[in-house]
Amino acid sequence: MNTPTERSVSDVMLLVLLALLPGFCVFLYLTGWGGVINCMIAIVTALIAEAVAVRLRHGSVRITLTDYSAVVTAILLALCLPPLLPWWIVSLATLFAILLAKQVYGGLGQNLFNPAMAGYALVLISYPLDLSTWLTLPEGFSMSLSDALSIVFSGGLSQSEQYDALTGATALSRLYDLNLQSVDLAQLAPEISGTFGARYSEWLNLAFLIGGLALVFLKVITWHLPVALIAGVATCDLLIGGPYPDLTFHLFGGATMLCAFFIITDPVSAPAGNRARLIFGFFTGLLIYLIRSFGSYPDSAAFAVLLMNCCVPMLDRLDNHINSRPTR
Amino acid sequence: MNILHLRDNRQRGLHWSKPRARPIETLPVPDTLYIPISHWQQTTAELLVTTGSTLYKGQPLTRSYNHNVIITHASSSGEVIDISDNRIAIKTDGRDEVSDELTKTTDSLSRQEITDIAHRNGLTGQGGAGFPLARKIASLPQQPQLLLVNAAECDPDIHCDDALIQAYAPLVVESVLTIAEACEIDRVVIGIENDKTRSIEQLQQAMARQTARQNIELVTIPSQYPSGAENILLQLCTSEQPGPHESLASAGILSMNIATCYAMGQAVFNGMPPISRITTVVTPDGRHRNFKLLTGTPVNHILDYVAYERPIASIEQEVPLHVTQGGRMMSEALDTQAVITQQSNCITISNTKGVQSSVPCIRCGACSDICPVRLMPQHLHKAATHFDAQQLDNLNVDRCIECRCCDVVCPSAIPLTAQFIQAKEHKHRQNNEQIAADLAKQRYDKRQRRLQKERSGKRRTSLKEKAAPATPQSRKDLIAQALKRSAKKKPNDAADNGSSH
Amino acid sequence: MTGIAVITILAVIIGAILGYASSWFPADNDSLVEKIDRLLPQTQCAQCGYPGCRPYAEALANGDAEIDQCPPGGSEGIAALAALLDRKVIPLNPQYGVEKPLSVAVIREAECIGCTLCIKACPVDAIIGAPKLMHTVIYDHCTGCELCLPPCPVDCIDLVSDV
Ligand code: SF4
Ligand code: SF4
Ligand code: SF4
Repeated sequence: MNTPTERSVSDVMLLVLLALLPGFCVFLYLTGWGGVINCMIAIVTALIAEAVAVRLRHGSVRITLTDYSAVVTAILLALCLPPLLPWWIVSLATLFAILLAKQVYGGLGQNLFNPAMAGYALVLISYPLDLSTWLTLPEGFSMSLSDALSIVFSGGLSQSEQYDALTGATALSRLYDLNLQSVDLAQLAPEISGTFGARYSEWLNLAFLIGGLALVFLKVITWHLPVALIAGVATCDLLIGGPYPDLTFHLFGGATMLCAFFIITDPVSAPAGNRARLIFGFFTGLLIYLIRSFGSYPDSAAFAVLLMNCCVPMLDRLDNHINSRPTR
Repeated sequence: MNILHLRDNRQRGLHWSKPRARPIETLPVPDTLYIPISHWQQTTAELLVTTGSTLYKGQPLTRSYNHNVIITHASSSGEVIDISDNRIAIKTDGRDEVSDELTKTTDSLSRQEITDIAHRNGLTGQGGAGFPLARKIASLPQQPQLLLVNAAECDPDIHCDDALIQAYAPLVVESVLTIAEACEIDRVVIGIENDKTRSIEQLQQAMARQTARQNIELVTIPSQYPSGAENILLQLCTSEQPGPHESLASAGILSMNIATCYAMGQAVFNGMPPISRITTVVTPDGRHRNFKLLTGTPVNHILDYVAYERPIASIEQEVPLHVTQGGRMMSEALDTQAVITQQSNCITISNTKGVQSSVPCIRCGACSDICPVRLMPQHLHKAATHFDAQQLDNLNVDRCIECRCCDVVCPSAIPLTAQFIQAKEHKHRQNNEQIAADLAKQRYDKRQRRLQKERSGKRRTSLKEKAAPATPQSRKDLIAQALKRSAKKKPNDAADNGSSH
Repeated sequence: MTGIAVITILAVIIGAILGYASSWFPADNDSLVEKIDRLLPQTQCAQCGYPGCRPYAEALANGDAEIDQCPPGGSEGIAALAALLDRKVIPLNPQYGVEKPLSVAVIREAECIGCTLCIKACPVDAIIGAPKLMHTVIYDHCTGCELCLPPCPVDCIDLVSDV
């Protein structure tokens, strides 16, 4: 038994963090100090929660924290949350993700649902207003750190006096609002679309795509999940999509790329076989599109992923069944 | 549905780039050799020597008529100094004199003769498992179809076969042909990795010289682990596969390691039993060297020799050395008493013990992506943890070839293979117990029925017997008599008739 | 209010149907006995207080016996029974014996007087022999139940551990 594992869990998680870097930089550029503070709160909360939970379960705190899975969860969560949220919403989401979505199932490897998405879904349902209030995006670091801190620790953007001056909607939520008023969508194009995708978030998505391709290239993830997810979105767009918003808008808008390369590829809550991965990815893509277009929330990745997570045991059986047939 | 059938037919496994094999070196003959005595169940080989006997190189030490018992030979000349239950210690005299009773053969051989030679010389598979060759040949069916020669040592640390071929290709080829002819096998395939270019060349040259005889197919296979595992090699070379519960030999396929073929050649042409073998020694600094070692050489002897070549500083540091056998993948720890046997293809000396703490499975699927027999180790892991026999069966745990590929890729460092081996054993034990219990139950049921019948039969006869006079000797008297007889036989034993358990 | 009423009535009706069904279709006792019997070690040693494994299985199926009475089955057997019968895992009741490693009976053949008493005692027909002639135990058939030890008048049967 003298062969060390080629790539340990912590190596995998570190590679994921590295691959998140380009997207993370764009995210920080767009969100400024608000994003930084969100990340900090999420990481600290996640580490503390994980340590406490492991202590209570009599595990080794050192081993658990150094697998970095809590950090990955925290960062994925922070990347989904709008900046300048009240601090307790971020903490709540993280606590829920680590404690209720992961540790109560038995910790690393045992959870049914993607922890980051579970945490995000919880706060999205509970605080829809705060969660859809985005800082007018290009402002970025123009707001000073102390201003940002005071907003975060005094009840968040929606309670702040500068509220109207600073906020805006994401392209997707704008689209959603307008959709309700049944305006002619084609006229909105200039308002919500950017150079090639959805306004602002196109760059974020592009950066995630680059990082994700690196992960595929390094064989940390297989191509099946992201490709299937994109195929799912594209199929829907072909079948029911109107002239506008077009496919690139969907692919480079909202959290599509983050979801395709980083969220559904979380090994724990995704199925393991390649066939099952294709099905899982495809239907997640389908759900993302459908919920986005017809559901009551502007972006939908969290719900799509959580719904598909429920199907994983079944999908696992599928591969199991096929594989256990005798080979010729 | 076919579009979802993404599994390609590419063989799966681990890839390593492997350095070229180094030439064969020799070690001085050790002072003392320890030759193991083979046991098989209750049968032990019969000793032909006693303490003090003078021995010559190649002289048989034991004898047996059972093909499962492996006959061992003196690997150098000297004197027997000690015989214990399981080994014979020989003090060597350094002259290395060859016994003059070795029988060489030059005629063509029959299958019976070659089986005898294999048994007389104590030949076993040299690839690692050490199955007696005589038994393997004897268990072939009437018309075997294929001789598969395994020249693929896929483990990244093992180079002994490569070195062997480069040094002795002609003898190997001749021996392969002789075996094929003796066993009347028409098709001969040698499987070798495509990166052993030197060896391939050597083999081709040797084969070119033997064109008058049977044709040998030389199949090159990709260099990856575990393509040297019998079943996988078979599939790679011939795209055949034996049934799930069939052994290769019973399917008419004689699969032999190339080192075994060489040993066979030595035995046939030179009458020399396998008293030495080429072993790869991996030194603590990660270099590998090939040594020709006498069987019975204590591993410590090699350690000493290798240690001399270390810089003085590292000897003084007294780093504890860990010695394992079997290469990087199939490694098993050796104790200080261990000696070189026919199966010692690789000895690894390291000063670190690779212990990793494992974390729970993260279901990443890396293991099922690598598994060369396409099992799903992550599900097996779950089933084995709770020992769910049904599920283990569904997942074909019996088909695991224990290659440890999954261990290597598992990011959680779970000792998967060890767990599967244990689960297999547990399952087989349970199976056997269940079979025994079922048989016991059958006999119990039959007996119950029989007793029932006897009872109802007796009731009828006893009615008839009532009229007849009672038998003069009732059963009790019979027993009393018997007791008296036995008391006479052993009068002193009568006292302790109390409790015996 | 109507909701509660509807649910209550539904509950009563369904409860009645279920109760009726369970008395109308009695649990399939025979196959239960079979299942239990398969879990028992078939040593047929009668240590459980029943004349064999099958009678013990019947008693268990009828709920007359506890699951802690079979020493040869040991803790593993109790666990299996507990899982099948949905009872709690309990330790073996020492009143019935203790868990021992697997063993087999061996007759010291020189001392056997050929009384055939052990043949009659053996529940699984593992002893062969004829009157006044030497007897022997068929190694593979012996379950190690010890039932042949007491009847032997010369105490020439030993129990050796089965390795
Ligand atoms: S499950 Fe068995 S055969 Fe498959 S990779 Fe693991 S050890 Fe090898
Ligand atoms: S490689 Fe290890 S962690 Fe990954 S699925 Fe297999 S057992 Fe689990
Ligand atoms: S105690 Fe003996 S007779 Fe009773 S169930 Fe167990 S093995 Fe069978």
